[in-house]
Amino acid sequence: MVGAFGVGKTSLVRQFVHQQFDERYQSTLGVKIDTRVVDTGHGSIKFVLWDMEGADPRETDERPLARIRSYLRGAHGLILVVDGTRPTTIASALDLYDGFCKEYQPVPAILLANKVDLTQEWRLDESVLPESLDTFLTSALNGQNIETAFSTLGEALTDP
Amino acid sequence: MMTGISERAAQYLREELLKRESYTVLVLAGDRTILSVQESNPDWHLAGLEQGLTLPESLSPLLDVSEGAPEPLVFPYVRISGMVIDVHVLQGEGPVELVLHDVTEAHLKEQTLQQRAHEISLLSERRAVLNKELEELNRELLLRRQQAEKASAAKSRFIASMSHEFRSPIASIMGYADLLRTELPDSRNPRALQQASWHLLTLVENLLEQAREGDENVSLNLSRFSLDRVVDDIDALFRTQADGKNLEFIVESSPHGVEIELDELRLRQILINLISNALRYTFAGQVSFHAEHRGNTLHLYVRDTGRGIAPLDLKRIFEPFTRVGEDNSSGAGLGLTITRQLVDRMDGKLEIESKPEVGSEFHVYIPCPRIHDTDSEALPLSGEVLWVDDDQYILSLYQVLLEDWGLTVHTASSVAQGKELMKQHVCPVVVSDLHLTDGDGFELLKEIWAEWPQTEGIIISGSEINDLSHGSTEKQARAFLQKPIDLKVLRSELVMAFAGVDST
Repeated sequence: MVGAFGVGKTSLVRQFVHQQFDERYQSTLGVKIDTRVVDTGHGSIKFVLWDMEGADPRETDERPLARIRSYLRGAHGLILVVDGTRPTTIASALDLYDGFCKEYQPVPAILLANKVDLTQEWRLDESVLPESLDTFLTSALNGQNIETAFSTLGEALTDP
Repeated sequence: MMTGISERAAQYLREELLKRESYTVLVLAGDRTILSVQESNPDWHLAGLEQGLTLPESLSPLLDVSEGAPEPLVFPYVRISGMVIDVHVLQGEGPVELVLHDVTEAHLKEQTLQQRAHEISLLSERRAVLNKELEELNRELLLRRQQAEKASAAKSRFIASMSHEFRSPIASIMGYADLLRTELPDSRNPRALQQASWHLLTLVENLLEQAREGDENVSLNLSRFSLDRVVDDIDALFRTQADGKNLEFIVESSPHGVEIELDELRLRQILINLISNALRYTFAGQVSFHAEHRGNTLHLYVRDTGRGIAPLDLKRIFEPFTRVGEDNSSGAGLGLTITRQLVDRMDGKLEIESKPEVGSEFHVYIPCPRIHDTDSEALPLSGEVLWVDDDQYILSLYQVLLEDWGLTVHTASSVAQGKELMKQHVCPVVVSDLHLTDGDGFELLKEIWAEWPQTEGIIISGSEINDLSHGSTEKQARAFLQKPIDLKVLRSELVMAFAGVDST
């Protein structure tokens, strides 16, 4: 799971794996690895989720990628996460994705526009999101669309 | 091999540094069974890492992604068993080795700093967004204020224009009522008609006054008139209303026979506003009005035994569209606002004393010298006048009036017709409405002066005007009379106009 800091990557994993939500912000330094088995149309799949530390959306060069390069190596799928209340996080996630595609073999990827529960502060213009990525409006707070998003990625990963 | 220092020093450093750090080295078989565990420190032990056991699931994924890696890989800050470690994967010749280096303390320090930095960054992002939204709100607010001001200005222009439009027909009604008073001296009806017209005119003037609030260029239309006449009219105007409410209505003035020079219409507006207010809010007892002229000051004094005004309300009774208390009384709530504006404009002073449930007193002091003048009504009038106005009622009315005064009147309804009549009769005095269908009164006068420079000109209009020369450097109109025209003033101006002509 990659994206800018504060977009809710850790909260999404916590909701997906443990069905819990903690509204306090706790920044991730390094990586947290968690697992969950999910049934898909092509059988069950064990997600080994690498919850990466977030990139700084103000950093526009290669630094965000460099910091997590060793973690990205060997990834079978990518979950890009953006914060729907902070439009600057879109470029951050897409930069990481472009960097990944240049350096490694392409893998299935989805995009989660998180915090959809914050309707008053929602500033996401969905037209700026790339059509090539399956996009889900998610909420780590109430779990909205999280199962669907992971199932979609699971099916793409297990597609014979 | 370290460079720059001796092998002995290097060896010493290695041993010293290793002593200070906590680490575990695992040697793995091909199936990821742990072949050996070497720990630097007996106090530091990671659970689940025992010789003969399989590598735990928390570390296994790191090995998955390291397969085939060209050089040793380091995974910084990996969480395992409540601790944070840097995982170094050493591959190549021989079995795979994992060096697990305890960095829990360093991680905690860095994580605390990062947490602060992220929180500050998130707050500053939020502040930037809010600032942007605030700017947009401000822009929208400014736009709306400009639109509101524009709409308000348009509304004011509309009200002003409508008020001007009303003046002509009211002037006509008042003029004809005056004629009827002459023809039917014993009937009360013409006078009632005239007083009601004054009332209507006052209401229209109130609207006009409100519409031009803030306009510094509004001038007073001064004329000479009898204070007694105004006081009598006020008495007649409100007595029926006071009787209808069983109120005692006292009207007094002193001394009698005073002639003053003020804007008569605006003086009437002040009185009508104050007295109608007093009558509106008084339900028992009396309403009294006194007008006194002492020295160079006109003192108007309206007192009632009405319900009075609470001290807090006294501060806001001059705000427009304000009606104090809960009632269903009529009125736009403009009366007191306009009264204060008018008194200010006349350089006067307005004072209020009021006690709830006892009553109110309004005092108005207006600087106003007493006039001693010869009575122009006594002077005879004769001669020819050209009167130009596009309102047929006005034309007929003044034709009758002026003919009564002994003048010969030629009437025209346009600039062109006026010029034609002038050629035929060469009238020494021309009275023209300002706005005509094919031009304006000043244009007509200029053309007449070009041919007959001694002609005296009088301009009349429902609008206000201060510049009687209207661009002409050589000659200007003798007078500007605002509708409704005070007949006494008109007669006086005509007397002087003919005298002016005779004297040249």
